[in-house]
Amino acid sequence: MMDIRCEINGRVHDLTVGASERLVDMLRDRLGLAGTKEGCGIGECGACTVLLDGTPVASCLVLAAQADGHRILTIEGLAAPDGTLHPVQQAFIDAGAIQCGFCTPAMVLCAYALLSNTLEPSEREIRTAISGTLCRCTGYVQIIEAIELAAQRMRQYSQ
Amino acid sequence: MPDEDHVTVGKAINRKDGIAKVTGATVFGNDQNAYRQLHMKSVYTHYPHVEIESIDLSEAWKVPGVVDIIVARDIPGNPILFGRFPVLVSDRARYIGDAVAAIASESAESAEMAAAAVCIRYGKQFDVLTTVDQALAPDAPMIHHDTQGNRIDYASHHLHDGNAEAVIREAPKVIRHSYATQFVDNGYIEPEAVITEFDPNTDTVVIRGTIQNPYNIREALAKVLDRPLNQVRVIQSGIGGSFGGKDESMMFIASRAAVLSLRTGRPVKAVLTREESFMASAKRHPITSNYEAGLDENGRLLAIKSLHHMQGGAYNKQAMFANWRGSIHAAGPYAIPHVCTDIHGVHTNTIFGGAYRGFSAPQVVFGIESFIDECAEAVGMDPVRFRLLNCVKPYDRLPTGQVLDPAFMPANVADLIELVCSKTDFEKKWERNRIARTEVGSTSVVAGIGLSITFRGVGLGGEGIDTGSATVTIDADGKVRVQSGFTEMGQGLSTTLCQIAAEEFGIDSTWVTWSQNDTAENMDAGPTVASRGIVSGGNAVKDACGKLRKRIEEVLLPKWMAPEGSTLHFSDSAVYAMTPDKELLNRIGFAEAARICLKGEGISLRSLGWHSPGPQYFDHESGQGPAYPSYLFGATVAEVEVDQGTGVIVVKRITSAIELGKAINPQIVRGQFIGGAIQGMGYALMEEMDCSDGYLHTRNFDDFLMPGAMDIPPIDIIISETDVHVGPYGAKGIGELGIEMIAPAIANAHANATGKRIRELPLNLERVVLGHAL
Amino acid sequence: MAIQRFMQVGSLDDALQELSVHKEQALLIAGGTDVMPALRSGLYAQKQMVIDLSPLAGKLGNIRHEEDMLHIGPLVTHSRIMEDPVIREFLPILAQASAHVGSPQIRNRGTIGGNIITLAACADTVVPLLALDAQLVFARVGGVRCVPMASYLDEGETRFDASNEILTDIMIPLPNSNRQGMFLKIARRQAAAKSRMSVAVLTTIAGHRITDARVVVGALMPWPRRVGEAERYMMGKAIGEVDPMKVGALAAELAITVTGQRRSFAYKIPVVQELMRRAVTRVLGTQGEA
Repeated sequence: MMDIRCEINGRVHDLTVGASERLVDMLRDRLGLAGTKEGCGIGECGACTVLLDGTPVASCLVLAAQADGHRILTIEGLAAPDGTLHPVQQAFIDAGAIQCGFCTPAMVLCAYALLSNTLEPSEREIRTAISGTLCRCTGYVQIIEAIELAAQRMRQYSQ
Repeated sequence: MPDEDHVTVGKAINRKDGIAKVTGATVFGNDQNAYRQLHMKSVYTHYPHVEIESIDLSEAWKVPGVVDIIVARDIPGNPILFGRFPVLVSDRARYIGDAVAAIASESAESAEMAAAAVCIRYGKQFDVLTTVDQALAPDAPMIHHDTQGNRIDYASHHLHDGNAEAVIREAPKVIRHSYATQFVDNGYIEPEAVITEFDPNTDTVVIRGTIQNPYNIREALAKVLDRPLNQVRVIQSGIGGSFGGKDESMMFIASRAAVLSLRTGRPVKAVLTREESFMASAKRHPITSNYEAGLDENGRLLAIKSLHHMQGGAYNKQAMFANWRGSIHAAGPYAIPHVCTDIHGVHTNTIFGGAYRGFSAPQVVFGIESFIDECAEAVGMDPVRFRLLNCVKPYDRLPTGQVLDPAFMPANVADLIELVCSKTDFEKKWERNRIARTEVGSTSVVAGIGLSITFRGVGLGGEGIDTGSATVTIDADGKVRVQSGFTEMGQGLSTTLCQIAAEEFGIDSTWVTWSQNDTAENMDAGPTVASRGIVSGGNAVKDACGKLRKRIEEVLLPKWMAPEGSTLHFSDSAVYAMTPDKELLNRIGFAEAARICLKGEGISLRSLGWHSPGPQYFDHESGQGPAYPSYLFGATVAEVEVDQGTGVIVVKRITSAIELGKAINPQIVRGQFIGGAIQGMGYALMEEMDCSDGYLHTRNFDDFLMPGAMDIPPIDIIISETDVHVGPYGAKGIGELGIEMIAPAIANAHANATGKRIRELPLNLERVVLGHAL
Repeated sequence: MAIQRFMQVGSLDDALQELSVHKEQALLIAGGTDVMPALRSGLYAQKQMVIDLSPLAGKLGNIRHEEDMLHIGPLVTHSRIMEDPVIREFLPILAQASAHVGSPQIRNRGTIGGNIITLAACADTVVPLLALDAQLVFARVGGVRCVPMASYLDEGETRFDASNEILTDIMIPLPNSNRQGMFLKIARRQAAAKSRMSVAVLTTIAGHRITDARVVVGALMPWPRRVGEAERYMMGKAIGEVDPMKVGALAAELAITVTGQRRSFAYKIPVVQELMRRAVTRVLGTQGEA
């Protein structure tokens, strides 16, 4: 077992984790943050995506112990403490980008990471940002539209 | 288009479950946990078709954490489920996903370690039959001892209209081709998950999980556990996609876990790995189709004869239904005087077919629409002219004997063809591509455009009883609850049914809530399949709302001493009475009306709504009769670029025109259609599962490729709403129409681009370069 | 997984020490994008401990430009490689290859060192590294050794001693002349798919003649290889004298010589020829315009 300290959704956590424990298991089982999903276990579907120091990674491929000293953002950390949705989340709802919802946390986080880098992403940049996250329900079109809508609203808000 | 007549119906209102999903709060199957739960792992056979001599559990029992292990003889009730599926096998494995034992342990890791420690002693290795031809060969061993030569029970269906064989023999032009499709997985991103426990308060086994058809699971578990139906309760968790697939696999893991729950007295959680889900859950059946057509000198189809074989796998419960649907649709939406369709299901020692969106349509539509293009070519006509010449028109007769009465089945497919073709400038591009391909090298990138059309019977039709129910309750504060045996699994049914209730009561859709399916709370509404949720569920909701409006009317009109002939109206969250002279008598809020009824008059404001399409007399011998109450029609154009040198096909645009009655929620309709279309694109180009030697070599999403965000083309959808009296407000159900037209449109576009025809799916790199699979 | 212990090391020396003590029982991990799926599939059943190299990012995760040499630390991720301005300008085929590895999530964690060590037959960055004359530096207790990528690959199973060596540097000479290159990859979908075929072509032109050529094929043979015959064919020729199809044919010949005919070759041989033809045509076309 290993003692680690990391920041998750803005809070510092001291945890003891197993040697082979994966980050996705630590988040889901130890911390009850079940918004991060497991779809394949080999980093191909993207459902386990979290932001590690601001960049999207597959948490099924990160050992929990490797999170020591790092900053993690999961879907649960995106909305404001009073429950106000982040513009990306609201845009997903408004643009009809959600069907079964299983890929939604990962898609939202990838979009959030993209829009943290640029508020004027090209369509290609949007597609690339979500190219590692599979969706079987929506066919992606409305997800891309949601991200464009979020970017537009965030641009307006920042003016 | 904006809906002028309705307030909520026809509007793109936001989904009810959006906030929960977008914050990661939705509880999916694997997010459920119970106090002192055990974790289950199944132990699978190592060989696809083998005798099992013994199962030695002794080493497995020694693994710390193991609490219980079961084998087949530990099943208290019937260990064989519908479709011949064994919950656990004891003497023979018939495919690589058969399980011999299930282990319940304190942790998933220890359960896995124990599973690896189970020692199976094998006896005779039987021949592994992996193709339809092998399974139907005269000397082929029988996979089951009591089937008709490896044919799946009840899965042979026929549609014999006229005398196709004779007409073809005399026809001026005869064309023959065969087509084949592949195993693919439904590909839901969430793997199967279930948690079972025994509730001593009610002496009930409770199953909570990712279950598309809770009543099927309840029935299966009642048999497995030897319990009455009222002592098995199935509650649906959030479901991360299903598309028909979370059925048999749920039966297996729920059965095993429930037995372990009863024996251990503890909750048991079972979650499949992706590898297990690929191996032991339903796939789309491969179908080989042999088509023969007789045409006259003008290109009119005189007769079509087709023979289809559906590969079902070792066990199978869906081929009998899917093949029936296939038999009705195999000759496409064409006015052909003589049609002869025969379709059979065959057992093989492979992964098994089940229900996957489309349910035989993607396979047979690939066949017929490729064939139609080849017929057009054979008579020197372009694919548009040929289809316009031969497609059904209003009042035409289908091969089932049904007449396309515009009130129920507006057969505007010719309009849909014109719509997509003019939008894409089809004929000009088609002709230009034909010429261009002869002018470039054989390794160049060439453009292609292809057309396909389809028709799709609404609901279950002659497959089974298509009744549905829903319960609507108005509470004393005017808020409304809708609940039903139908399932929300991402397709948005919860939102659309709530929209219908809101429309019926003239209240805002935010006043209406939906509860997830619980067999103890709802009536069996039949499975949520066949895109029937909106028709059967929607009509049932309408029915319930109508009954409640009547009850409110019967309270308020007398209370207000309304004169004879007065009417009660619901709109703007208010209820108002009009006299026969059209004068406003009284007006109160909807909430007030509810309170008066419930608290003042003691009237119940809960109603069970019912929908039944009425008796359908269908002759299964000849395939004649009212197969379906209505049909959806569609036309799709695919534009592609084919890199002949490398085999890469890029889809540049998809344009579809669909007739679907009424769009209750246009945003949801669009999402459903596009989602289906992209699944169809994956099916056409990149998805396949290799079980050719009985072992599944396609293990995870790195082998089984589904389209990603970089693969999708622009998709234009033209919705043609028509006035039909089938579903609520004319809705007919959109869930499956998107998927079935794409593969043939792409295959036809590829043929236009290259001049070569590929008759097998998928059109992968090798087939495009070589013309055949490796 | 049988992993019992997780260890983070504070220095390269510590890592080498631990490795030499625990030998086959130790498994090095950095980004984890290859190691984690392998652990899941049971490939490393005998490994009992994991040594995490990521704390050594300060030493092993840099891109350093020294004189005419670019040094890329093994812990540099594909994302950083595809975005690095020096690599994009001077070694664009490497940036292109990294951009094609996996998905954004994979690229954010997967390292160039991992790509080299795991050496899947389709390892995308190895193809341009071979064309770019990369040299690999391995450290062991008591010393370092430097081996050219081509030699390293050709060693086969005995490439490096996993119990005693750690990859510490990838050295790539920077070009000082008119060099153009191209990396092309074929896969079954547009992104996040392993290469079915990949090629890299690099040529240096002086006085309208090819003074240097590198031709590499990936995902065709057990590991990426330079096509020596094709390089010799191109050397010294004027641009117009090179028949791109001949280059392709030589690549195909090499594959057949190395592995014999395989079933997949019915597809792969014509396609590698075509892909090579395109790469050569485009590279020479660009230089023809210059």
